Amino acid sequence: MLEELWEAGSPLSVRDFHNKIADERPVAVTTVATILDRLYRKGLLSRRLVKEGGPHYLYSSRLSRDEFKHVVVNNVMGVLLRGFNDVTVAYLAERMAEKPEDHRIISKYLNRLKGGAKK
Amino acid sequence: MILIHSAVLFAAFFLIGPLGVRNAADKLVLSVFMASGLGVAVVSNRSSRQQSAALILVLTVLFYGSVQSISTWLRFELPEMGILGEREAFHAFSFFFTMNVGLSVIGTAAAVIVAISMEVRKTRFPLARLMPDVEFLAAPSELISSVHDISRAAGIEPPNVSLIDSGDSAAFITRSKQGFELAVSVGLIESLGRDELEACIAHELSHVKNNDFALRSFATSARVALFAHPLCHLIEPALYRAREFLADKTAVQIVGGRDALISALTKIRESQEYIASQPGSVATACLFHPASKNRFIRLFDKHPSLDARIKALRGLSLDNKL
Repeated sequence: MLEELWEAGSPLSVRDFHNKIADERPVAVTTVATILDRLYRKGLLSRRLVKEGGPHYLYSSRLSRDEFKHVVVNNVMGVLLRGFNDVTVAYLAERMAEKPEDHRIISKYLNRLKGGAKK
Repeated sequence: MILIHSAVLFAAFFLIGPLGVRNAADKLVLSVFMASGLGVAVVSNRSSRQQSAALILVLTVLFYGSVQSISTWLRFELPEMGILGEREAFHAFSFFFTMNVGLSVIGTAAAVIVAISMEVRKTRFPLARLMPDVEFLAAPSELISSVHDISRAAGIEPPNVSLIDSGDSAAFITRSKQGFELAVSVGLIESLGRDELEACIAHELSHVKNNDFALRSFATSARVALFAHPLCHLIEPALYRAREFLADKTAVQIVGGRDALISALTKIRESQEYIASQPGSVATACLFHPASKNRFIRLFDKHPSLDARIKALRGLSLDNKL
């Protein structure tokens, strides 16, 4: 749903969503409306009621794609680090060794953190 | 022997009902009425109107039996309580009977208070105060016009119309300070086609046309009055369910076909499967209340499952007149 909104770049109605996803996932319009309502209640979407042409909502995302990624990673990693700190850190270290690209990114952040600690 | 007698007495009261009636002939007549009512309710599963009439008869007999029990208890049983005699054993071992009658006294008084307070509440408060968790908006003129047209076709006064600010599929009709109030969610309007939406509105208006509000008030009062009687806790929800089926049937006659209502309910059933795994929402308080999957628990549910409603609509004869 969020991908569709980011791609569209403008608010979408339930019918717009349904038209976009109907080919891949044959779901009823009522189900699309319910899912969008849940995302709105969870604070991920904002919506505006339009009365012209029959009352309907126009949904838009409250977060950009990057902001959403940050929120998800913060939530997931926050839970993992609080509950399984040593295992999580060990897993990340192993991943660093596997992929040079990950190694480069994590090293960059570690250096930045070290720099911050010296100050 | 006395234990067996009291056990039979206890079972008979719960199963037959009008045991508190002192006169043997009355007792027999009422029992026959009640057994017939239950029989018709079970057998006539194709006619919601007959079924609900039979259930009302059973509730009425139970209610009458309860009032008779109270009268018998006050006139005959109570004065004899203090006398040690051959009836003492009867009183001692018919404890459950006496308790039931006692509870009926409290129940009847409670029913009157509850029924009056419910009516006062409904007629004094506006819709927003009756349902503070739901946000109501002014309905657009197209919706009001559509409701007026369907009301005219149904032969009833059009209700006030409100819009529910929710993306869920929900619609309901209730009584408030302003009279009958129909509320339809934005989610229902934006998800359904015009014919489907009109069929759902016709279902709600059918509750007014079929006088379901008066019947519900009676059934609820009888249930409160007879709360000690287990049968009531099955009859009241069965009556509500029968009226839902009848409202579907009436809606089909108002809009002139069953396809739109079947299509709407099928779409709503799909989203309900999603809702079932989620916390409560406005939809759970409305027309499309998701029924339990457990068959025993469903006996106490006031709403039939959407599967049952769709099946009943598919089996409906289109020759039926209003």
